[in-house]
Amino acid sequence: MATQGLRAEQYLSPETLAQLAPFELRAKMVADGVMNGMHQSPLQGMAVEFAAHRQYTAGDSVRHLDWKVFGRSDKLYVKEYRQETNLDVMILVDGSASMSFGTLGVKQGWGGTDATRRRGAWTKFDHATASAAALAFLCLSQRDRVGVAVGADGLRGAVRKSAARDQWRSIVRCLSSEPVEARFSPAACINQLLAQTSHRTLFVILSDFLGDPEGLRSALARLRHRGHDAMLLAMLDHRELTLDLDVEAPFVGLEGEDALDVDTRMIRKAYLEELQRHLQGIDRQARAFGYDVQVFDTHESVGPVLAALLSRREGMVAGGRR
Amino acid sequence: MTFISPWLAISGAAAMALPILIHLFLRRRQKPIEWAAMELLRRAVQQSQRARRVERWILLVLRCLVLLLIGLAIARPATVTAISMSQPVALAVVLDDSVASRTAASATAPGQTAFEAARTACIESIRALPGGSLVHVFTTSGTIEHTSEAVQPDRAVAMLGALEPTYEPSRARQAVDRADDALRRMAMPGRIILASSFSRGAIDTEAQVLPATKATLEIRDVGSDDTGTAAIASMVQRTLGPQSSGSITVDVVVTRPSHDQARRSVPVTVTDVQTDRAAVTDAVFIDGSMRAVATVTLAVDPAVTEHAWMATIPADRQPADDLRTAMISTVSADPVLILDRERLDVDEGSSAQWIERALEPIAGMGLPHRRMDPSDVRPGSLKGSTSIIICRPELLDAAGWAECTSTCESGALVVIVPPTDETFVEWQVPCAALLGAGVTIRRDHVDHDPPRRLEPQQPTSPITQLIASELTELVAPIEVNRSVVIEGPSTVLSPVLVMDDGAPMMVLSTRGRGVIAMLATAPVPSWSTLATKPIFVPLVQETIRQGEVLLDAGGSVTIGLGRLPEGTTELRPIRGSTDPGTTLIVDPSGMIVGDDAKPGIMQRVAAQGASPGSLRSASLVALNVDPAACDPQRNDPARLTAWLNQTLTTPTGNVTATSTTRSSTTASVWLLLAAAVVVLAETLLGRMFSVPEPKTT
Repeated sequence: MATQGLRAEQYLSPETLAQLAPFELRAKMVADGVMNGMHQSPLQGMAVEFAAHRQYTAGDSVRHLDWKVFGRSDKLYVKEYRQETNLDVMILVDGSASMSFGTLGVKQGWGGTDATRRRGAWTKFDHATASAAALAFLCLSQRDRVGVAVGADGLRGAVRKSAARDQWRSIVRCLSSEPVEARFSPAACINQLLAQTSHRTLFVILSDFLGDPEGLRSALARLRHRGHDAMLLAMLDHRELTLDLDVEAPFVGLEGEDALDVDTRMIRKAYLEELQRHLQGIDRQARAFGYDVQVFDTHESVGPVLAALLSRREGMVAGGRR
Repeated sequence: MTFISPWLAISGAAAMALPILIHLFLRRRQKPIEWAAMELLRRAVQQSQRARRVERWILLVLRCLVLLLIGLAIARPATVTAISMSQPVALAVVLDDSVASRTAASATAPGQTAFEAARTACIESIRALPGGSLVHVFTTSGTIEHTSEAVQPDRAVAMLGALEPTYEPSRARQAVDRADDALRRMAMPGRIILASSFSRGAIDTEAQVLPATKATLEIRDVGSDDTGTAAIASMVQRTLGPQSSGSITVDVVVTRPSHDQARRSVPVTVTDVQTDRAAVTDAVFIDGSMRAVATVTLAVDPAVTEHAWMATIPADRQPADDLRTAMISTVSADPVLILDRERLDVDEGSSAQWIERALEPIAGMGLPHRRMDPSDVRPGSLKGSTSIIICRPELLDAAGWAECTSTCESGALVVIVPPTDETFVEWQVPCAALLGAGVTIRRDHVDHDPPRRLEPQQPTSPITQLIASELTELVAPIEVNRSVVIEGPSTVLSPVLVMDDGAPMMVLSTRGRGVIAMLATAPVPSWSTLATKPIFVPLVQETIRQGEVLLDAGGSVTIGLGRLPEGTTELRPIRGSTDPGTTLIVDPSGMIVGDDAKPGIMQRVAAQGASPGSLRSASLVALNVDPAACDPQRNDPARLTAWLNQTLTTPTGNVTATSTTRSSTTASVWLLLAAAVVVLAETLLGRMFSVPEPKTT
């Protein structure tokens, strides 16, 4: 079993933890958790943090009347409170065959997923696993509930949301044991996840998003319709981002696509333009629903990119509250 | 349209295949690459690859075109203009009359020398000329000039008939250039015929023998039985010793750069180029040796005062992959005359006995010698002797000393050994007089206790030049118990070996045309250990050989590229050189220092490392140096044939009198310009199609 002897250092380095330490994963929307936490709850008046005064209307409970104000002004005002609760986070990792692409050598002691074993390289799936592990650790440290799911043409393996102490280990174990194959269908996976989700949840989708953009748009629309938040983390290999190859050779797809004779020197410019156009399309779709998108280069470490994303998100949440 | 060098045109066409093969090869060897973003790739391919592929083929075609155009330009396209057989032409005949043309022609012309065969070929060509034609006659030696005006064919035939082969080196290129210059002044179509055996030394293979503009160059290859020689060394000896008995020993010294070569024996043919008498012998390399000597004895006519020899080594039997040098030297074949009286009462052996053993260490091998009683020396009794060793000077009377002196002055080597017996005869006075003015020999010998040793660093001397590298080791074990004291001015006496106190153990001087060498100690054990040490045999033999070389009776010539920095001799060409202003530096063993070997007859003008005036100036030295002959690679028959095919318009002897070929330099220039334009277009196109460096998204 690949998960035997699993160590945290295989996917989460102390450097990454140190880089993420100053940040918090904040929900942009109102969370409806059941535990006390740091996220805004839809329920009001029950918690400790004062929010505002409101004029008493018929039907309001007299328990919340502010008698001090009544004594000073002879008017009835009701005190309102803001409740803060915990956040539900569901991490969906693309487990399709295209995620097993990688051109970076595996560092000693790192890796351990199915893709690493098959390719002998640091793949996009490995990078997604590392990013998911870091996010999960961050959420658990905030006492948020985190779950993970590995999806391809449908949900393949999942860990239910929990804030339990050994949840992080369960998440990493799940990611490192699932095979990386088939094609990714975001709509199918999101549909299955929504069927299991009752509370408002932050969905973090880690994929290369190289599939049909229409399927992604459909999945995002469903999430938005159900009032969930989402973050899209696009995992791409450095070579995919730059096409730094000078060859004329047949290119074979990892998901069963037909071979294609390509001279990279001839098409590099067009490829880079197509890639730019594709990523801009994903970014445009996500922003249309108010979701964040971040591109990850698998040859770079996870920490700085995640820190930039969280910082940007914190800024947006704080701005929204003001 | 034709090509001056059609092979280059074919090569250019063949070179076109190179970019295509590279293209196909690179395309074939690529393995499939797995890729994730196939959809992006597919869209990029659809967008650009089709156009790019067309552009790439255009680039490929342009590159092929560049190679083809350059090949065609180098091949020198020419236009052929037909002229009628009856149209008069200007013919320039270039006849090879160099020393190499004295060799026998091929089997197709038995009994003829290469010169005669070439002359016959020239005459045939002249007689086939249409009426009204004019002829220029040139020779490759350049010694006979007929460039001033063209002559009628009959007159040219007469001129050719009067020519004789020379001892000069071949300068075919200059002759063809002169012929071309002459034909340029003529209004009628020109043609050049170069007739030669094309044996080694007959033509300078480095030269591009091509007329520049107008004339057709035709080759009349009369063939040669010289199947390819690795080296030719030739020498001219102007004066023989007056006492020569009519035979002479020619030594050919063959050296190779290392001693680990497999071949042990090299056949050497020595030919007297005037009488065509040849002798073949083997130069045998002893294990670990880099030098071998082939010795032949040739009969010569004493009445003839100029002789020339040529030594050849077959190309397939060269001693090493890179033959370093071959050197010819001559030694008189007269036996060495030892002046001593037969004695049986000497236990340790006499000086003469030790010297005889050194002259002939193995019976039948070495230098022949004979004895003569010193008291029998009378006027005229030493005639015919080139080398005389006086072992008992005390037995020579005044008449004997006078005969020795006159023989030496007329050109002989005299070696003197001090007497070992106590004597009251004052032999020292006439002996010192023979050695030169101002020389004295003390009456009493000196006993050394402890024995004297020899100086480790011995002076440079022509006698010891061939054993110079081992001289320190060879002189180390010698102990001298007794010696005579020889004193004299340094301008007269030249030290050969010196003892550790600076006193000479062997000296050299000259007198008239002769050379005198004297030992200060006798080669007997009671005087010194010289005779029992390994140096003795080479010292005695080299004294005879090199001493004779120093005489007018001997001479040496070397070709080669060896370099020895010390003791060099400067030679000045006096005849047969193209550049009389230049000089040639030759090291003590006769090897040419430097690569710039000018052919010609050379005379020594200065010597370094030897006492000027102590030795007579060297004999005239003839250097028929073909630098190419030193390099067996260039003398390979296949290479020579390939060179002829590449550089000559008509590679065989068939005369094509019906046409003239005008080499079109203009066409070559235009082709090169076209190639340059194509290169420019290729560069611009390549820059236009170049893909910018990728940027990280």
